[in-house]
Amino acid sequence: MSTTLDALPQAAPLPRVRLKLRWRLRLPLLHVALAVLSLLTVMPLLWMVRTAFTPHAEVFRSTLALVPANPTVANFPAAFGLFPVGDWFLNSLGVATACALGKLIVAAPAAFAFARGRFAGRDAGFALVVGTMTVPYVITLIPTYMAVVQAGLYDTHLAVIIPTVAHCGFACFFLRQAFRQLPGEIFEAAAIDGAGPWRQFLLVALPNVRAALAALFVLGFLSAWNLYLWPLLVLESPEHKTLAIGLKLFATTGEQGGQWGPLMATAMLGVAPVLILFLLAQKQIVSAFVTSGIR
Amino acid sequence: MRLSRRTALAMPAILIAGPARSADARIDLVHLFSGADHPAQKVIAAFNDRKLGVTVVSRQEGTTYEAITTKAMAGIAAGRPPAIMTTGWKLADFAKKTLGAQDFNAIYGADRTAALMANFRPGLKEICTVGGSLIGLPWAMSTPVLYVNMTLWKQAGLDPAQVPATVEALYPLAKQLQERTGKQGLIFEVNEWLPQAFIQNAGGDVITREGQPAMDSAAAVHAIERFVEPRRMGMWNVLSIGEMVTAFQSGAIGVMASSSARQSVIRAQAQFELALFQLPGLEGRPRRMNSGGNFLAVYATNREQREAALTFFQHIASAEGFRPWLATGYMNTTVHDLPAPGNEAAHAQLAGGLTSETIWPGARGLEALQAHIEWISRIVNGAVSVPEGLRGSRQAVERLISNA
Amino acid sequence: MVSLSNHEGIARASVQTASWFDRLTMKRFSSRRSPLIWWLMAAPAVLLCLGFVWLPMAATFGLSVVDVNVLRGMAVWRGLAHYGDTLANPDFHLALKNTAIYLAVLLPLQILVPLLLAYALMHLAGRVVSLYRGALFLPAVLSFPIAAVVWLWLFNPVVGVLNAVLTALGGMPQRWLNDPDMAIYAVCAVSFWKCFGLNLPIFAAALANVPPELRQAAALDGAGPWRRAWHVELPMISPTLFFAGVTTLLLVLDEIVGAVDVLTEGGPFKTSTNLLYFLYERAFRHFQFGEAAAVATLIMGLVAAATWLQFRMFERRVHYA
Repeated sequence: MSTTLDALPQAAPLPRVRLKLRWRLRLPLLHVALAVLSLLTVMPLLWMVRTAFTPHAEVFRSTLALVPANPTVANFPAAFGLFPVGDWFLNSLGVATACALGKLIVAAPAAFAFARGRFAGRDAGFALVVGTMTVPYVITLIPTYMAVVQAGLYDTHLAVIIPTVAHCGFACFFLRQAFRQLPGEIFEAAAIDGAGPWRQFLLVALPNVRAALAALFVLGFLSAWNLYLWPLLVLESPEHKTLAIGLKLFATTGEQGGQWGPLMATAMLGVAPVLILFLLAQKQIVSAFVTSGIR
Repeated sequence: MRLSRRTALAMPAILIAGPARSADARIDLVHLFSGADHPAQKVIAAFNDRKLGVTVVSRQEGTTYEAITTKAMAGIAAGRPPAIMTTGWKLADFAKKTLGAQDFNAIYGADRTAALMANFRPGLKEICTVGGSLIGLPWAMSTPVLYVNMTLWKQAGLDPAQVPATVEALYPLAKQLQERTGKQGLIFEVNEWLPQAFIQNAGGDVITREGQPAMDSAAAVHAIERFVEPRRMGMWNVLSIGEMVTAFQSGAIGVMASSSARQSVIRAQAQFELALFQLPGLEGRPRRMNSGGNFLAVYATNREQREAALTFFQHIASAEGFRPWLATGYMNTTVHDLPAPGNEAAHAQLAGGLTSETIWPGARGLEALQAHIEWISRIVNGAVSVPEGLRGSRQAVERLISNA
Repeated sequence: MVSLSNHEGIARASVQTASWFDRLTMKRFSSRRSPLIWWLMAAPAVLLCLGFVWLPMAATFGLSVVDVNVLRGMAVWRGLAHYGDTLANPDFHLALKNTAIYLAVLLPLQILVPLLLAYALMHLAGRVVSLYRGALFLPAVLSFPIAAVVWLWLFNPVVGVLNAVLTALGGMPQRWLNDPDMAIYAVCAVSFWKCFGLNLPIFAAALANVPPELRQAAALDGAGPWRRAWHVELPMISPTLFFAGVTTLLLVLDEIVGAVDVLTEGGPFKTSTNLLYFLYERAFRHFQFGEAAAVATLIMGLVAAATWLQFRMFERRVHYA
């Protein structure tokens, strides 16, 4: 498969640099330093996992032991009893999937038209779409909120999904690049056989940019999973909240006497999908980030 | 506009209700009591169990009156007001002017309102009345009290029978406790309410009867100087309220001044001997303690929801409906004779006469309140001097009142 | 790379499969050259961008000169008063100052640390290296609020592990987020932890892209790793560093708000707030939409100015490969 992603520098092995002996002797030291740094980096997450499995009475005992004396899973049902954590989780999953898919569905045909089409206003349309990448969403916040309220979408998931999908500038840009990298001959061949733009798009173009689509989906999913301010503004009912904003409500109920075990259990639920995604497709995720960073 | 308002109401209603569960009227009670075992849940469950054709849905949307009021504003702006909300007494004026809390007499008629209010102690009606409109049911009334970890108190060799009546006498004892036990001596909650108690006890006012901010009077400065003294003495480590409660529960602090209404939460977790006392006053000044808490106000815009709210109100105004509520540490505001074991200190303070909580006037009262709390926090953290901070607060509040 | 014939195979096979979608549009618009089909394909994206980005942007400018009462649905003309009020508001100054602090702390850290790490990783080999990479990158996939909740627990002044570690090492326990002198740096620390990994693979990829001939030539000239880094690699990857700078700017102005809200709510007394959080409070806590729209416009102006300045500053120094 010839794809954008495979062409990325990340996929190429890093060059091994030959060093002089004086420098090579320092490498073990470098290993130690990196091992320590790596451990420090994951430590907060390990502590989260530890707390999630620590019984309530033990949470408040100041200790540095990484494994609780009496591990328990009681914090998970406890969390579900305190807040509609299950709803939050499913809401996050649904909203993130819808946002990621929605962006692809909107961006892919547009990107194809911008890449292969010859029509009046093409460049203006492309500029209009890609130009949105330079607009900080802060400036759109208040009118969008007012529009959502006026449209009766307040406290619905559509209120989160539609404006998120609308910010599709990067997806359009990225897919247009991918489409342009495909050899023109395959489209010409299809055209000779009588395929119109839609058929060229659905049956020729899309199957050939699968990896780019997957990368975009992952990026879209992660960014929607991590959405905070906007859902905070438009989702009101506890059972409509997403995990990210539900956690905030949970975390601020400190007066309950610090339900840290159940809170960390809930945070673990928030970390789990991205963690699993990360472990399954570390390379792809990293490359997706790299591409979006290089843009 | 009218069309969109209607859709705004209908859409979420369909989404929330889903398939019809029963013919019951469902009303949301927005509150700030967290936890599945909080007495608020028991009150609601007891009501729903009576199956009176009304189901109350518990909605905890924050942990401070400021937070849930902000949420409610967003809901009201979106055409979805909460049916009932625990409205902070301090925000009574704001609730009427900005949130549009309903006048009971207007929506329930004079007779039914009088019958409902007859369950409550005389005098309470006044603090639920704004501009001549009765806008709330006086459900939750608290007062600041002193929580003492008696285990630490005794361990420090202090006399358990003698908890002082003035802060001037209390501070040296708390210091002693800190030195002898190695635990933190004392903690105050940082908000506008406890400082109000200090200011009143010194003879001042946060806001005068005429609605003028007066928190930088000489009396107020004297009071707040006393208030921050424990920090200067090195025994008050300033924490947020949530962390303060956690710390006290874990036995890390000797003495805590906070709302009587926190005791259900604190008793549930504390592993030591806990005793509650009246809040100490100021040396040489007459005691003048304040009340606080919330009333239940109606924001529902349709008749069915309002009537459903009344059914719930009638339940909680009854002796049976109110009884489980006393476990919170809120005081008995009804005329019913109900026992409240463990809450003697608060009731004694009530018997001594309580003022109402400072009511933040005007359509921007919520903002004024938050500005004041921020200046108190600056003072407590030593970022400004007491007179500077109180002056800053007066100026900020004045600007917001005149701008409204 | 897949050979061209394979592509043609796919194309032929697909053409034979009839697509009702195409027939539908073809019939309507007679020719595949018709611009209408292309426009139909582009329309959803174009309309969404118009309706949810460009239009609201214009609306924000419009809102900034009126007073909107959301609860009553009224608007009153205010002219430029909101701009004047905002520029004179001490809380706005504080938000501005804090945003500058966030930038001053995070911008160098976000570039230097991942760069050093990427450089170190380049010199190591073995399976364990991918373990380092994974661990260092891991926080980058988390969301700000979740990262913040995890740290909220670590920062707890009473039972938090950070104070436990400090005490075990003989230090004094800290108030962390409650301490007005420390809160903003605590938020910085969390943001840094959550974000530094993001730049790591980006820098590593850029380093891998440096032509080996350049390195060899430098090595032949007797340049050690430090001199090679300074004279060969750094100039070659400077565009990447520059873009990392732009990303960090957006991070500080935008995403960080999730950490601020969970960790401190901008407190104590606004010592850890930033511009976006200030806007959030004006708009959605106090519902002063007109005033908040003016704030949004001012932020937009600042972002534009900062980006322009960055481009100008880097224009001459950046070595585009």
